[in-house]
Amino acid sequence: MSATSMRLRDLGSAPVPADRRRWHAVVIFVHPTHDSLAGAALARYLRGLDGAGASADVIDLYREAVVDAAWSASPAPSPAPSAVPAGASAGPGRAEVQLPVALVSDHRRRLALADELVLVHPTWWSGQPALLKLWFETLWPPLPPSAGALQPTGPGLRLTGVRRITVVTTYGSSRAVNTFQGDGGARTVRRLLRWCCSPVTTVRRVTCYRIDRSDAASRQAFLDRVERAAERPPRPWRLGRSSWLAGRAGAASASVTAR
Amino acid sequence: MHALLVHAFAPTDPLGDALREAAHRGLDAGGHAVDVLDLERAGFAPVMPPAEWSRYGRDASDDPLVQWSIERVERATTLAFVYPTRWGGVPAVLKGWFERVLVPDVAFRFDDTGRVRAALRNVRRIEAVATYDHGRLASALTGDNGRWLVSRALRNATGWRTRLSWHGLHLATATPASSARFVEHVERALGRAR
Repeated sequence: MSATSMRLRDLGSAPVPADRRRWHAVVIFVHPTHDSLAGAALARYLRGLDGAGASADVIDLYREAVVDAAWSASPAPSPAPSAVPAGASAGPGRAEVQLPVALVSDHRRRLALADELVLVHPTWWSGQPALLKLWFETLWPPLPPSAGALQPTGPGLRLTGVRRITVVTTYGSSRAVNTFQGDGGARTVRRLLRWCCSPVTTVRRVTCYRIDRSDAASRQAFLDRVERAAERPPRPWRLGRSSWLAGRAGAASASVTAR
Repeated sequence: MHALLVHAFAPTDPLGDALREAAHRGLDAGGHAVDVLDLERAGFAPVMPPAEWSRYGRDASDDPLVQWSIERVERATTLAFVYPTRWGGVPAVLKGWFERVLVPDVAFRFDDTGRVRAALRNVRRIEAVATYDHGRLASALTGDNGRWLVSRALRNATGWRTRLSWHGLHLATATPASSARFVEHVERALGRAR
């Protein structure tokens, strides 16, 4: 209980950047190329943010972690196929597949300033692309099992300033197929990523299904929805910054007085 | 009978090694010719490079590990996955294996209307061995995306006649004795897989 109330008292304690406009969004973009529907969605989201007077910081994970970095996506000395039955005989190997520490600590600093966290990515195999999962696993490494706590991820970072998580994502197949397959990506954000923020962080998703078979009109409609969603400011949640209750009251009165 | 065993534990995890060896022995005893892919020891790169994405399909990758995996997947009658649950689902390295290996014309085909059709009809059985860092309640609350992925999305690619067995160990409530029993259970269960 005390740990929880400590966290609650910390709400909104992230440092405020000098150039902050109405709110500050950190946008994580995960797609091999900007020349894609996800890339177009990113451009429209940024335009929406700009139109609404928000500042944005884009983390282009593919560019930062794969294209620019020494850390490479192509396997460096992967064994010849004949040698692959890789088991006990395969030598010491690497400790863990992880993103470089310098990259991730830079991201930690940038994330601490966020009022809104935006994930723009395609959904592959009913979840986030492996690069985004790798990023999650590096930022929030697993707890030792002995901890046994409900906290689903590591002790790591707590993004207490994030008021809203927005997911902008595209699916190859229809909503029905994805619902049947469990839509693991949505569950990961709603149940786990939200835990890494604050108890009152909201989650919303802007989705485009069935892009394998969609026409230009439905893609355009999706991009329009993306821009409209970006223009909506996250709800302010506080009068004072001291407690969850005050936060809820703040949110209620702010919506009445309107800004 | 051919089996492909995909292992996604970190090389530093002794329980992972014990489970891999037990699964290997079990499949062997059941009469399978077993291929083992230890993703982290082999240095499998989970992130699909941009060049591979732009050519997305059976021959898109020149990574020998991907090509090796595609050959084995296409003739396997049994697929076995041994992995630790991370972030409520399969670890990134195994997710990357799905994305890079199970591509169009390997795992699925698009029919005339653009619908996805199963292409891995050769797989008759899937065996999954997963560990969870938490107890049953916490795991239920966070959801089990790995199981959704293997039981639904993957079987969408193998056809619904493929049978699935799930073997889970909840580490928060496990003791050394129960972990050892679980390893024995895995060996026996995979020995029965047909």
